[in-house]
Amino acid sequence: MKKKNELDILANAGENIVDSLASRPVLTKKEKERMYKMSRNKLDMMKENYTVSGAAEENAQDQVSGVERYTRRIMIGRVVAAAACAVLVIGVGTAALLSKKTGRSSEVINGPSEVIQPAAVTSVSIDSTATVTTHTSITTSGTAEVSGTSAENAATSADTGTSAQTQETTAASSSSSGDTAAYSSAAIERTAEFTSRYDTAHMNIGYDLTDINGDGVPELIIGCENNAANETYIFAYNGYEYVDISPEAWGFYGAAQICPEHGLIRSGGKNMYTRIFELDSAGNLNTLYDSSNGADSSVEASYSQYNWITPDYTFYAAHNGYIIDNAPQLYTDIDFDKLVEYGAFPDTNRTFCVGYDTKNLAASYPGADQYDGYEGGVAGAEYDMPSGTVTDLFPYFQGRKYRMRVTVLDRETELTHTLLVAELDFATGECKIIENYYPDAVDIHF
Amino acid sequence: MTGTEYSALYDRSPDKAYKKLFEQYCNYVYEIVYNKVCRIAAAEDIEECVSDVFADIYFSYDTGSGFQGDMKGYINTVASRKAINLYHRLISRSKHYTEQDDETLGRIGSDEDLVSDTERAEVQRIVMSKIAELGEPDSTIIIQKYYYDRTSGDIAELLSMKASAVRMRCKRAMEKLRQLLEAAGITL
Repeated sequence: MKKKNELDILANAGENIVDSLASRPVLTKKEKERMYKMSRNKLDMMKENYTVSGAAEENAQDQVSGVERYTRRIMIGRVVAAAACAVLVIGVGTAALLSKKTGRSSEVINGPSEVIQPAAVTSVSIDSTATVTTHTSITTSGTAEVSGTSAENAATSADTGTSAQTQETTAASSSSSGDTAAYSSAAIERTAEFTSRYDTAHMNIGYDLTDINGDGVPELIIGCENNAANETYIFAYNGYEYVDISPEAWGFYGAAQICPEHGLIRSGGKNMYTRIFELDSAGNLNTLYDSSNGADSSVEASYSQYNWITPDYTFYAAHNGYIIDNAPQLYTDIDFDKLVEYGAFPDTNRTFCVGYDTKNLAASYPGADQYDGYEGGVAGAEYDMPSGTVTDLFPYFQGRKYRMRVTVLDRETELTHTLLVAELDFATGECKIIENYYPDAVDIHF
Repeated sequence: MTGTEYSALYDRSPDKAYKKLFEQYCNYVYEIVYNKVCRIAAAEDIEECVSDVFADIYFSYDTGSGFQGDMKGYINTVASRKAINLYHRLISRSKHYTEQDDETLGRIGSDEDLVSDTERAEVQRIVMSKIAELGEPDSTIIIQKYYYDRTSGDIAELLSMKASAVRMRCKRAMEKLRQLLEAAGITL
């Protein structure tokens, strides 16, 4: 969330203003070093990509001369495939006819053609290079059999020759789509269970299925936020459900990024330790770097060149049909000068952090009354020496109904002051203030 | 730095040329990017964009082009385009607009409403002149605090001062700036 600054008027200014602003000290030494390092890393990557794409271009140019041959191969393959289809259809038809006439159908079925499946015949029509190759062999064996034996045996042999491969492909295909559905179903089930456990402590619970370790089975990543930090949990599929393999009981502390290319997970964030883990193909999570242990930061820098991606989360609330996009914006107006008059703070010459503690209205699980039922929420903005009224924008929403307590943390004394309690419905935009401890100084509204 | 100077330095040592160019223009590039996207971008996005600008310049600038003029114009163009791209990327990522975004979007690349743009430019000029009247280090403190949204601790580090001193000077300077601007008919 970006709060409005007093000098926002200077945004999108002309060249003279930009020059004037840039002529003053702008960046600290650390910031400069960080950005310079990033730009050099990016330059190296650009050079690397340029080299790779140059080589790829050369290869592509080589392939141009082979385009004609490739096309011809497809054409021949198609003819061969069509011939194979014709032979199969004739063979199967003749076999069926003969069987009907002679009453020998059981003999044919009991022979080596037991593996004949409708799927094998169906796959003949697939128009791809791989399939064409397969059916070339069908034609060969089929033709040989046709010339040597009866028509029904030809059909049988043709299908037998490719049955193993075709069946494997068919099985793999159906298995793959079946597995995807199973992963998806298991992921939703685990996320629902997670939400029921943590709904009051976390907001914006989202899930994503990504194969991190390249074993062909996607891992479930659940991201969420509380009033202090982002958290991420990783789950592995054990064949029928997703089980938590997060390194700590509370998951990864901080927002996580993943690098499936190298099977890595990185967690951290502002004012948090950075941790990098490797998820090996056996499902073991190995710590590669942990800044809380005073690890060498150059190790972290070496990993920073990897292609890290943020999981593409689907909000669980959205999955259940709650409004996520275009939900109403919640505003909290806080007049810090009046809070001083109320005696909440001695002065405003300090830093304040706005906090939103949430409480599930339907909370009925064991321990729901701990901390008055307010177990989590999200942090708002920090204000350094505010004067007059500031309008804090509620940073996140999940499209749900909450009882919310708005607080201000005085960074000088580390004391939290409750400003008001309100019931908020992010789906309908209804806001009902239950109790306002500083009515002239604080207001909350959509 | 001119194109000739950069090319000569690059021929001797590309690393030194990169470093020198960065040292000379990092504040300028940061300001260009910040000025365009400050309302919607996080600090990390801005730093990312600045590093993109320099990587792009290092990679794309043709040192054999024989360009002899100041590189500022070239850098300005690359930085502005990257900043506008970042702006559009962030807007599309957020998937919804706020009034503030509409306001900014209208100004980015806007060649309409010239009267409003001129008035705005005039207000900006007056605000900058009044800030300059505060003198140093107060003017830098005010800009860092109320434009770059830096904490007192960060400003203290930048100016080698104590955070408490920054807070005190900031409060007084802001009061003075408000008075100066009110006298000029501008309310923050």
